Amino acid sequence: MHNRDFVIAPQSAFTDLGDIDAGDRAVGVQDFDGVGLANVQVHNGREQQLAERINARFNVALPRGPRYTNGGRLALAGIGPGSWLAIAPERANELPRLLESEISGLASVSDQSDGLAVLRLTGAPIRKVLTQFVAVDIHARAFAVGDVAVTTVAYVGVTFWRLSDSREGFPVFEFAVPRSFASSFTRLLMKAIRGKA
Amino acid sequence: MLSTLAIGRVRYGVILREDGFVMDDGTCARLSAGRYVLSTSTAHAIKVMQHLEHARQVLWPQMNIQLAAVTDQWAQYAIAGPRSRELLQRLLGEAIDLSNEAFPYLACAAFIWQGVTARLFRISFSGELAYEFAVPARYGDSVIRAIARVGEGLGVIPYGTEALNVMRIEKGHLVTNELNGTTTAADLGLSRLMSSKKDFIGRVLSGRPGLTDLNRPTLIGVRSVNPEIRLQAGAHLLPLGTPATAKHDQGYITSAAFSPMLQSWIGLGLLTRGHERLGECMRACDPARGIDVEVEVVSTTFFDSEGARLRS
Repeated sequence: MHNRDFVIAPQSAFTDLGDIDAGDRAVGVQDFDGVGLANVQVHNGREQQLAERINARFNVALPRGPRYTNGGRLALAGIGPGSWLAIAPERANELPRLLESEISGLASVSDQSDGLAVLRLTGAPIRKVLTQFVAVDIHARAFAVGDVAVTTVAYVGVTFWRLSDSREGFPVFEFAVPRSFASSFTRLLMKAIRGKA
Repeated sequence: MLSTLAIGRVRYGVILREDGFVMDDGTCARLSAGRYVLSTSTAHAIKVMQHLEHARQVLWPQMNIQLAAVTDQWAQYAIAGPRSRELLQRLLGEAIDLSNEAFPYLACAAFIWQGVTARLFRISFSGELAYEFAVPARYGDSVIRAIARVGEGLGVIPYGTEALNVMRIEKGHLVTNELNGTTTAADLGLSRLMSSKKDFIGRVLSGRPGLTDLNRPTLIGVRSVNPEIRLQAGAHLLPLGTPATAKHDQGYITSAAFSPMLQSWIGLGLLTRGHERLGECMRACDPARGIDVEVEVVSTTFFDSEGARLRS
């Protein structure tokens, strides 16, 4: 017997995002919990083949070092030696199957679509907000478009990267935080927007 | 030994430190030819991950192994009790065959259910017929509500760590109280898990004279002679008739609980040459709490020693 009295439904990691007071909307906060995320780790000695395969199948360069590249269907952030965070729009929980079929034998893939949750942050004062809790130099001279940082924020491990500036010319960052700390990160961000982090 | 672990099967194991002491225990499930899921004690998860990374990066970099922490990725629920199979059948429908023949004790599977990848492990910390069911974390809230809903009429209730702790003591299952950094696999009655044919981390130093000394404290069960008198973890074990001094201290109780199944206070402990002393009565003395109780040394498995419930 299959009980059809229920349908399971996803719940965003950032359920309390609506509580953020973005002041005069100077800070843009966008929930991207729904993108496909996967940890990709190259097999021993196969990095060149992996780079070629990724480029051929997804039209994106495999970053060398802590850099972010985006081919449209797939983006990659270098998060460690031989290790990348793969990001695909609107492919939560489907990305591993897609990647495994394309890079089988070259890398191991682990779904992180629910392990991490992504927030996009932008606006004129965003650096002023972030410098209250990010211990990485995010000045434009030091942290260019496409740079990636794997660091800790309030004792929690996070990964963030800088995207191209917005149409208004404001810097844009995306933060991937562990899902179980998403609410905590939201509260921290809320305080920082108020200048009290 | 994991080389013989078949796809779709789970095995219990212990991880040793290089110095031969037990770091942690847990289960290893083989989901496909090259994919394993390792579970650890909650308190030891980070330490075990560091240990695995050290082994991969420093000790055996030539091995083609990749590790990923997936604790945040999955919402995983233990569903335990004699009607747990019935509940899961109602929940999962035709997504998986849960008969004892198709999905026996220590089976595991990954499958698609309601459009998402789900994982099921037939493992039991409680000693009951039990499963652990995992879904991507964003569905966790929805799924626990579905479990409660389909369990209506089956008497389903949430159970917490206190109930779990009572049941695992009845079965002699270990937690950090026993995996406390001072115990070896042999101390815990798990020497059968150590391969005599191949190398492993901790093999050499676990053979040191101090760690193979027959007088080492080993894991035992204790039962209050008067079942109504409370036992408490931390109480020292002394021979009857001896004064409560350090000179006569031969071990201590690591975990204690009142067992509803046995209608008695029971516990686990570490006692010098404990495995040879079943049936002996001792003092369990805890001066700090004013406790001085007579206990009997018994097997670490208090209930369902043949495992009929978890294999049912």
